[in-house]
Amino acid sequence: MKILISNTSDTPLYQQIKDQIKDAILKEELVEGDALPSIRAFANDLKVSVLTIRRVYEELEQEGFIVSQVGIGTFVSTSNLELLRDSKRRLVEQKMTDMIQTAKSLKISKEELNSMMDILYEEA
Amino acid sequence: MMLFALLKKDFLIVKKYVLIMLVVIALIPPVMRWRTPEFTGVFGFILSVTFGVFMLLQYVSLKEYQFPKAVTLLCATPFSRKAIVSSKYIFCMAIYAICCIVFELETLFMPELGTSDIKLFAFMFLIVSVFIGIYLPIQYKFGYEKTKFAFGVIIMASPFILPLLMRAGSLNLNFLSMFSPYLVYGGIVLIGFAILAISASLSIKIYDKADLA
Amino acid sequence: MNDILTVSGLNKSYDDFSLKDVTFSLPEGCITGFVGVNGAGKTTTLRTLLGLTNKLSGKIQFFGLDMDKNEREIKDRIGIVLDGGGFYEELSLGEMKGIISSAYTSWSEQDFKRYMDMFSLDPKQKINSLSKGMRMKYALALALSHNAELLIMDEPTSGLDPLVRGQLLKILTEYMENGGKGVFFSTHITSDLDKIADMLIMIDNGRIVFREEKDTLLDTYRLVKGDSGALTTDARKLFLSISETDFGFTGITKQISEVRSYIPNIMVERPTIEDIMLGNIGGEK
Repeated sequence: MKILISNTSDTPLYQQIKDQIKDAILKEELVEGDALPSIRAFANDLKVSVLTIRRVYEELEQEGFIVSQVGIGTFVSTSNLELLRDSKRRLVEQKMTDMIQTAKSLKISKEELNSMMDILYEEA
Repeated sequence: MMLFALLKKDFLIVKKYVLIMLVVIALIPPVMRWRTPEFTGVFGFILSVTFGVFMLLQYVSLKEYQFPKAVTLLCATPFSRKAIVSSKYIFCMAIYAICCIVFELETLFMPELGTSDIKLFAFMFLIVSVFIGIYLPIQYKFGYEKTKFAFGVIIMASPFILPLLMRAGSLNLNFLSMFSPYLVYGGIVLIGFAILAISASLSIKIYDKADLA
Repeated sequence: MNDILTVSGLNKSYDDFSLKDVTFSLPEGCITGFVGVNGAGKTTTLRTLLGLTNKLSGKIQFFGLDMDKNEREIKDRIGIVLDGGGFYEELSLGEMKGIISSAYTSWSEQDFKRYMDMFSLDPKQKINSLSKGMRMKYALALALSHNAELLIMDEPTSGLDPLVRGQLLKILTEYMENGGKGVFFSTHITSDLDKIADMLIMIDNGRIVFREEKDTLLDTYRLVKGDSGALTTDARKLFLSISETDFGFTGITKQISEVRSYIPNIMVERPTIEDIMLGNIGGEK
């Protein structure tokens, strides 16, 4: 798993780390049952505070991406993967709704929008 | 256990001087007998106790004064201030005990030094108790530097004052012979311990309120 | 999360200095840095916590136990490193150890030996022959060999070269991984803290300025650089401190979005702990 922390970003550190762990789970770099490092070791490697990692783990556990077993460790749980994919899809839908509304206000037709989408999708 | 560790510490920090002082303690009575035969070896014992107890106490205080943070560290560990103060009193008593043993041995081998008897040890115990009973609380209150001066005066004066005290003492104390001698010595030792106990509790009170270095 | 130390309403006064209502707590499992300039009250606070100087008022609890009533038990569970060590300099390392070890109920000779070997210290060596770095390591060996749950250190990094400082940080991390519940250390050298502290407490002039997670501090404060001409009176109010030269200004702020709306062309960076510390003790505006 790769985690890069940006010092210039305005996103809080715990958010950056949490997002990247989620991404790794989504991309299946981390799969069901994989062990995550101990809080202290993880904090050391990333040069962040244990409190930050503790917060990341707590939030990820609440959201159902990991489970902590006292005295054993913290493990990836993919039971909620569908939920995550759904939420990602909803995010895209949200943005598309925005885009469609902008297109409508600029009187861009559905066909025109579709072809723009095709071109941009290939390019990106 | 903790008291013993602290007592050991006091001997450790002055270990350089312990041997020298032991020699001095042992030498004083025979030398006194040789130089000033008009005084018996009893006076030599008194002097050797004065030097032994007070010089070593002074060296311990000097070391504590040189490394003031060491006792701060001890106070940051589970050692209580009460134990730290108490160990000083025990240190003085231990040295007094050593002086008694040394003199006892000397009189065994050199009878001309006089006889060591319980009476002498008991009276001297009272004198030592009074001295450190006064000295230690003052040192805890005012610190080593200031107390050192007063102490120097006492040391200087002791060879002159002590014989006078002894003479005055022997005159005044004659009436005590009416009582059983063991009752008297027991009483004297008891008074000595009482003085030490009162003085120690006073020192502990003073030291408890002190801000450490 | 439990607090291993809580301090509330601590007051202490000297002729020329006083602690004013010092209140803070240390969460379990954290390395906490106690920062402030020299004379801010770090050492006085630490000493008052340990009962080395008497407090005027205030409540101190270690591990949920009241310090006034459980001093001995609490001290048995704490490891101490004092600035300069606090040793009888003429003793050997082994002799000094003998004194300290008898104070603790759960002294581990094995742990001590392991540390002495790790630091290549010889018990026969005299304390006054130790270098600053060696002395620090010896103090750590003494402080960590009785299963202490909390390690308290006063200015442990002062006068140490970067190599030894690095080693110290490593030992502390190791200690935390091996079951230490907390480390609390005072320092004015903040570059070390960036690497290791989880929590920072800052004191200035006898008052606590902030107690915050290090990463939160780094997330909320921003270092802003820009053209001095753009600094209006209102814009200045958004900064904790500003320093200006002929070429522009550098300022520390907690309200970066407002600053952006006031001054358009600025450079924004994450500050170091030192920047934040200095920002909080003022500077010209």
